[in-house]
Amino acid sequence: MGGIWAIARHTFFESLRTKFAIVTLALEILALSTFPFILTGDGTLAGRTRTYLAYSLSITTALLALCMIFLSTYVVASDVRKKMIFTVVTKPLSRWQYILGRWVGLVLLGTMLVAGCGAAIYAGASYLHSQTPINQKDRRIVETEIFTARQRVSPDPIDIEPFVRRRIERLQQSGQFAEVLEEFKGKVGGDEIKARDLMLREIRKQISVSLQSVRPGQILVRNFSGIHVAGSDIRSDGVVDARGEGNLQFSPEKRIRVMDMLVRVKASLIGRLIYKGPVRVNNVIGQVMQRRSESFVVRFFGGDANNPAIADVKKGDKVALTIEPVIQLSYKIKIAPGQGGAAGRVLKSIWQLQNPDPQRPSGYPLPARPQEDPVQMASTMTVPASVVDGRGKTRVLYQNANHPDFGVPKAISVQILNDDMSILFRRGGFDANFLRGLLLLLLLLAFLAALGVFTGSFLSFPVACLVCCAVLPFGFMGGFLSDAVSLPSHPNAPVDWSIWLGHYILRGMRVVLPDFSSTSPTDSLVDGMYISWSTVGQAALMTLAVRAMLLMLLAFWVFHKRELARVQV
Amino acid sequence: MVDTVQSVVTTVKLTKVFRDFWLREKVAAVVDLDLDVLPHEVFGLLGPNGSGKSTTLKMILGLLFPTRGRISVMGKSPADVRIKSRIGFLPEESYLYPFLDARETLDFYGRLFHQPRRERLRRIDMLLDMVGLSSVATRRVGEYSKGMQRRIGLAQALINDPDLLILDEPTAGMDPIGTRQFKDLIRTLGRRGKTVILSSHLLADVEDVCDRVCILYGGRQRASGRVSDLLSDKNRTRLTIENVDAETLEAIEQTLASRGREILEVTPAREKLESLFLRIVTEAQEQKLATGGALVGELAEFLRDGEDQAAESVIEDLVAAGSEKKIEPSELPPPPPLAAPQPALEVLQELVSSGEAERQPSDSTGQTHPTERPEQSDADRDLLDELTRSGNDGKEN
Repeated sequence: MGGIWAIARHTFFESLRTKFAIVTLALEILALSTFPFILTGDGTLAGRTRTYLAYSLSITTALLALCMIFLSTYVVASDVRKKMIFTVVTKPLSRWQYILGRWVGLVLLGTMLVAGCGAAIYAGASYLHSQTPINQKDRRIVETEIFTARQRVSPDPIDIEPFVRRRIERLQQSGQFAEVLEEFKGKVGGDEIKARDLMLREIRKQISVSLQSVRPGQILVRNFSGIHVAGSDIRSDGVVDARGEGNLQFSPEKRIRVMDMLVRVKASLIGRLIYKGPVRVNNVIGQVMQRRSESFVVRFFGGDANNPAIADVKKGDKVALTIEPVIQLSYKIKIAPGQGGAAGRVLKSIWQLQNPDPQRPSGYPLPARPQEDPVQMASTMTVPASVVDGRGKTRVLYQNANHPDFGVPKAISVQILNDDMSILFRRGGFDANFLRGLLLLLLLLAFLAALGVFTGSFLSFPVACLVCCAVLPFGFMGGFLSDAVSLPSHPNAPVDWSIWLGHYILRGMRVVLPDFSSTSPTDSLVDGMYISWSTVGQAALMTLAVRAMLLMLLAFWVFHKRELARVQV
Repeated sequence: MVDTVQSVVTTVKLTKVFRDFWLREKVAAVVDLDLDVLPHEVFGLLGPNGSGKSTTLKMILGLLFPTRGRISVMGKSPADVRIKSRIGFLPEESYLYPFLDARETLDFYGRLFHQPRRERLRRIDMLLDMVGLSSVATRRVGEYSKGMQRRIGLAQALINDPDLLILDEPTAGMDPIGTRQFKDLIRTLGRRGKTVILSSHLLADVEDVCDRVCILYGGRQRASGRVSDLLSDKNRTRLTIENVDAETLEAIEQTLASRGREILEVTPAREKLESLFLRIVTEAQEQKLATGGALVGELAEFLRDGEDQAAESVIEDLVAAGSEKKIEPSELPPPPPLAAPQPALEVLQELVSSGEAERQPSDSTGQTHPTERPEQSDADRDLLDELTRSGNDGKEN
């Protein structure tokens, strides 16, 4: 162990002394420190922040990956080429210990680089977080879609088997079953078993599409489960401030018993409020009526204004605020085929989210009224988390309002695919999520270090470097390339040999190489998506414990078998 | 061949053939080499460039794998990590990390031997003193001259107080003082029971320090044996006389002629350039003239004279501080009688520029043997006595 640590320590300091890592880190931090000021995005604070995070994380990933490839291929290959290996492996140190020590040192260096770059990115993001948004919507997006860690859940799967059975029964009753089966037999060369499979697949596909289509005026219902919003509420303090001319305003009409109070809070809290959403002040429920940059107006209904917890509040008093968390419904509506193009069109929709708990049948918004949604573009609706019941379930109702009854001249059928609809809920904070994202980046670097050490164990530095750089794009675009050369799903469809070959080569590479794109933290952090510990653990298992260790074992074997000196006669 | 159990390093029919990319045999670097390096001896591998010296050493160290044959180092395979804690190696160039300074370099190598921190630092200090680099210990090794790099290379080879020290061209690139120090150190280590294998094509180095040598040419062993046996010329005698005048010289010549002996050459004695150089540098050091290079005083003083107490104490400290298991002299069997030396004086004549060794009688196999050292005959002793007397008489006259 002492030998491995000695080599690891040496590798770490070697990388620093050769200045490559230090210069990389310095350039990176210099670039990152300018990004918050020069990147403007779409002009909103949310746009700036997203652009900053996207650029800084992408550049950091690319730069550190290249840095790690250069260093990992260099340290072993140069030791052999410059013969420093002579004085190392002639010491009581196994060759596998040398290789492992090199890798451990590179991982240590990667940790330092990730920590340095991560700190710089975090500082830039914090700076942007403290900036003033252009409006309240901007602030809400910053708080609830970027500086958060949201988890996405898809609708519960629809059990289509009853529909399939009914369709088959209808075909049998109408006497068309045999005819349809013969048609499918013709497609698969007369094999009845294959024909039945293909027919069943086709029926399932048709039913699935029909269940995701909504005719004008029809209602689509989707159930969601597994929504466990982090913290049942957000607690903080607010200061009751003067409203208007400096007077705390009570409504004098006891009959209505309405009271407004202006509460000054932190900007981040404002971003988590929903306009006209519920909020509790000193544990008394009110509704947000108006939001400003640092304050909002709460209105209390019924006898709550006379509640001493509210009635006794004076200007300058601190009040306990409880803000209910929010969830987001993300969806994309398409026009059903055969009804014209989608460009520039908007659709009328009525959305309602319901708490399926029979004891708390709350819905949002209430009452539902038509709204306009762009066609084939992702939209997000923020609603209070009170629509989720104690079991983590909620129900989403969508009514296709593109009907003359809703003032639309022409009825339009739409499609909302299950894959295009999801609920996003806050699972944790940005800071911890950012840390997990950096861990994913470190895992990527650890894998690249293993790849570099492996190639450097038998190739010269430039060749090893070239091999690693050639492999890197496959890791990032493996999924895309694999889809591009995937085999047709139809069993009898003709397949070009080059597609077949490419498909299996890429499949093999995807087994050996981790899918960098799926483990890259950039997209998740830009969209405020939760990076779970299980994701990190899975990446650690597959990227580090399996793939990197496989490369290390190969490196041990190669280095053990090769001669470290060369002929000089 | 000597009994292999007693040898520190044994090679049997060791062959190394290098192949090209297409696995065609390119060159045979070492062919059927049989070596036995015994405990406590300084063993030299001699040969011109490309004769297979370094290849042999690299196979002994496990850096190259033999094509055929067998190697045993301390009774184990060269690939065995356990024996490496008892080996010190100085390659033909120092091959050190240029971004480390001397102290960091030794610290790194010390860590590879799992030495405790305090012990490691103590050894580093002593070794830096020993190789004369204490004053430049914080300079990066990449900035060192080649000779200084050799010194730090030697220090790293000694950091573990090795039982077996393997030196590949140890004095290459060193100045005369460093060379002298090196040779003194090797001799001292040899006296202290270490086994040293060195390869060189600098014959004076080998002659000065080695107990036995093996001469290689074209990867094959051409001769091996004790240096003293290989170089002895039994038919000539050299007299060195102080302040002899022409008259005395003539008397000596007459005396020798009367005994049927002839003086072949009379030359005035000259100081060796090495001695002159060492004297000048020593004087400069005594005057404390500034230099950015290695300091030689301590090493030269400590190790030039093997009996010097200071040098003894440095070595003793290093030996005593060893945490690794060492071969105790008592654990080792006494050196066995050497096999009959096989001087190939025709090779020596080619390789050794100084001296004109005469051809020895060959046996039927073509191998040459040195003649037995004859007992000093009474007649010769009388002659020497007479010469001495006449020399003294002449001086008195």
